[in-house]
Amino acid sequence: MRVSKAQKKSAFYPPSAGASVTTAPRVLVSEQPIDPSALYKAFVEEDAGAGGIVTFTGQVRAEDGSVQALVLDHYPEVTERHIEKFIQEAKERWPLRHARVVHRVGHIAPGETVVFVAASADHRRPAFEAADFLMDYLKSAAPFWKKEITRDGARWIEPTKNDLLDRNRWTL
Amino acid sequence: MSEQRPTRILFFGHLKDVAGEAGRDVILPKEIRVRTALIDWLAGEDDLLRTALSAESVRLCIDQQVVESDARFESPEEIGFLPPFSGG
Repeated sequence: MRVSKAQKKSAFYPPSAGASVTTAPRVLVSEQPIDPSALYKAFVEEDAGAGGIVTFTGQVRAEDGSVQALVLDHYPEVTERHIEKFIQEAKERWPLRHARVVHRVGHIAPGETVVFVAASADHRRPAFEAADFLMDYLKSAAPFWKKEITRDGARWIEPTKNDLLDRNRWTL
Repeated sequence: MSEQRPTRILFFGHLKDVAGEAGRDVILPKEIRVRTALIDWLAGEDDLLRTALSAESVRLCIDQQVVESDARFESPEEIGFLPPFSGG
């Protein structure tokens, strides 16, 4: 996976007309808890001119109390570069204005947010589709590894057949 | 000839559990230039680790680039073993 210097620089939003330069990273992978409301608010404020904004928030399912936590492993820098590439790909496929991906790693409790994806465009469809596309790629094409801690022990989760089918929808 | 640089070996996901460590720094013998030889050399007597690393679904990442399983390498700085991805 090669990332040019220009792409690396584009990890930051370009300044929008009339607005001050923002420095919110386009991709963030961190052990810090995710506050989806705050991220939504910031995303909207940074792109007030968008006609449509779609966000997705993924949380750890409690599975009737059997799941105690998820533990997410990642490959620092490599994971971020994969996600940058997906955003770049989304921008080539759809007329997007902005996109943002925040993914948590480490120890995550049920009910907590694992991933936040936002996409904005002039009209709704590109925003919907890009957010869907980014989630499918995050599920099975970015270097994350997920361990489920349950009452009965821990197990590493492999991507499901459906995860792969979901992703393949975009290559047809 | 300058002294050979160490190579950082990184294990991810369940491979961390199998290896019992997140990674190690090694001086890779020069003749080790392909995945199979690397796995043999790394695993030694540890058949569980050999089997886990050899799985077809495990991809190799050389100096932070995912490569084909038959890729050749020469004293890279970093080699990651990547099991199937599962995020989101």
